[in-house]
Amino acid sequence: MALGKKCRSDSLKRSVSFGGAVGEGFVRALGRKRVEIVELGSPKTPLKRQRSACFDFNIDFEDGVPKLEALPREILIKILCGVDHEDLKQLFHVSKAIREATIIAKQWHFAYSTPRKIRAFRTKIDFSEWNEDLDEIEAPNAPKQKRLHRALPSRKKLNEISVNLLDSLDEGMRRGLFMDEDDE
Amino acid sequence: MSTEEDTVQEKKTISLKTSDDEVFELEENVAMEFGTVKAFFGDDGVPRDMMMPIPNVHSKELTRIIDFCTKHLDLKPKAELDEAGKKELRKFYKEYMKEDTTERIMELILAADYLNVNDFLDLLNQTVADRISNKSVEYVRKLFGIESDYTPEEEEALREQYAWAFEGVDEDPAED
Repeated sequence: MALGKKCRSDSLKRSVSFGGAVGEGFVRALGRKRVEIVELGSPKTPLKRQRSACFDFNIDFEDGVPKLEALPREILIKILCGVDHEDLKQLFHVSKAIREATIIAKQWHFAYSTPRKIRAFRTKIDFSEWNEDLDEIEAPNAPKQKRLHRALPSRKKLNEISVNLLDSLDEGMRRGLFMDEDDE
Repeated sequence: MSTEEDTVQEKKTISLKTSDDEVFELEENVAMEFGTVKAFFGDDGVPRDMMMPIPNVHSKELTRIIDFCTKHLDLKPKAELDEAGKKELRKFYKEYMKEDTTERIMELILAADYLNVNDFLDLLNQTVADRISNKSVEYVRKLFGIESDYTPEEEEALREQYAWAFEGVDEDPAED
């Protein structure tokens, strides 16, 4: 099961303002009224959202099946943020509107997280955790890990490294730096 | 007995009126999980006994959202206590949307978005993301009723450019 990735909706809302409902396609979307995305917590939020939600709600329900493109662009991007990095390339092909949203999702979300899917092993890693801590585990802007074959450091080197680490660990503990470690 | 007396407090409720004119009375703590409701009543100003109209939400969706929020509110503090609680919350997330059609999820997304119920919205979005992960382009199109707006030439060009994107894709599953 894929993981709970939270799109940085705060930053998304603050600096991105884009066209309103993604309707029948890319060209039309340009013509739509620009709906400004209001910051969370603003008292104006409910009304503005009401208006934009109203705007989107009345269209694009064909045969009662809500189309993906009928969703507010912001939601579409959030969804795409949750899709694995590798799959985004697939989504380019679905339609122009989806492609556009995919590009934005890519820029916004993947600029802040390391793609998790490892091509070498086609199994999904089960990070079944679904909480904010997950974001802390990811290193922002960390490059994608390349599984290259490298010679392991020699034993001698390893010993040197381990000793040094332990020293600094001791030092840290003395200074009380390592606190609140979870006891498993 | 004394405990009962101590804990008996008048449970504050908030009233919401849906698009189909149904009035729901929610416990205040559940209602405040809806960002839109929270903003509406604010810290002071609008009195809590005022009924709030939510014309973009149908009772069907609201019922489900209330269900999620109630359960979620119960599980969340437990998850912060210990590992067992965390596990239960994770399980809850995993199982909660299992039976729903994608269509249903879309409807819920619109409602949860309007009401600004962030936790539920995150779960819904991730569920959709999971359902389109590693699926073929045709499957995604069919799932959402999208027609490709690329011309055959553009398609061909894209395919060439992204040939590797089509490798290792899941086989299209049976009808959702």
